[in-house]
Amino acid sequence: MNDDELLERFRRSNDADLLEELVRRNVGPVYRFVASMIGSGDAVDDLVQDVLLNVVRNIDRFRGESSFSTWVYRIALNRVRRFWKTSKKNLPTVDVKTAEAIADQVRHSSEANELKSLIGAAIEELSPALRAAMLLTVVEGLSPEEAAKVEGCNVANIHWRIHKARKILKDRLQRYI
Amino acid sequence: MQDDLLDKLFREWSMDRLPDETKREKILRNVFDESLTPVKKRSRFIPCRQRTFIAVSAGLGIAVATILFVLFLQPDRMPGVPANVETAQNEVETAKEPIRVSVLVLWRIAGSESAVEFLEDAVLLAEEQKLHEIELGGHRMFLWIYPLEKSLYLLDLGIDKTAETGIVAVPDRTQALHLNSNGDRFDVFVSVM
Repeated sequence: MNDDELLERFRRSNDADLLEELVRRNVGPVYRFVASMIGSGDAVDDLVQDVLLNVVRNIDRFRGESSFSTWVYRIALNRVRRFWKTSKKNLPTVDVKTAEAIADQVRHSSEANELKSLIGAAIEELSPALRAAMLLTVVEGLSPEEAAKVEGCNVANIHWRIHKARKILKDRLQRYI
Repeated sequence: MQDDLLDKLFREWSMDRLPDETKREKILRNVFDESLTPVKKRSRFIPCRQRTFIAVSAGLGIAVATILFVLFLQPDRMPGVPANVETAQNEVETAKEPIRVSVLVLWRIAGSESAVEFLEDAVLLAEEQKLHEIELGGHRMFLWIYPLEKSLYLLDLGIDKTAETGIVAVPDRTQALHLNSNGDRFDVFVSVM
């Protein structure tokens, strides 16, 4: 049974266990999305909790115009944006670091972790919009149309952002892989 | 490097961020414990003195904002910025050399959100290197952007909404839009084809 069907059953029966199951299924994906957007740390736990709390409290307002997961990711992305705004924390833009700076960074890591560090450093260079587009489509499996609904932009923008993110990552990684 | 390999690496990097079972349970418990607690409503009572202060501050704020808008933000009062599409069109038609026009024209026609979308769409078109006809705010426009790197930079400016210059409105005539590098900033030039 997928999330939307589970939600429908919960609405019919008002069974709290079904709601818990629905939220339980989304803890992992939401956590992964938030952590990938803002990096690891205590803030991730708080943000994820906040997102899921919003989902539970506002589940009556969800009208089913998009899929349930699209709605959840939209709440998560809005929460991440609010976090950046209030904490004044922002991701570096693509122009800040160079491939040499990344290489310098990975020289200090062990060989086994070298590739992971390299990829992580390259991904951290992506702007929030590019990173979100990649995460939603490549990792979370949303269609470009669904990702566009989450991001609040048109589908062409999502295609373009994925294209640009891949281009940046390739530029950074091709020397090493 | 193939897209498939890149996506796989990206996926693996993100998968490492999944929480362990203990953390999942802790979050879940916190969510449901918290959701059962009634949300505290903020008091709407505002003391009289504060109300007066808020009213006076709001009044002053509106007055200052109005003066600033009238003096500085109206495009037709800014030197070098055409007031509307017709003015821009006249300038384009009568210009002997390519001229610079502000993105404010487009902003004024379509609103900032549409302008940003327009910029992003424009970049997609630029990749294909095609002359493309679009319609925005009821105006037919013709667009030609090159090269890609410059338009990508322009897109970044558009998203940040900090651009002083950018895509220009080119109404109802086959005109070309040229991007020209000028140090760190990019000016937009319009010329008749």
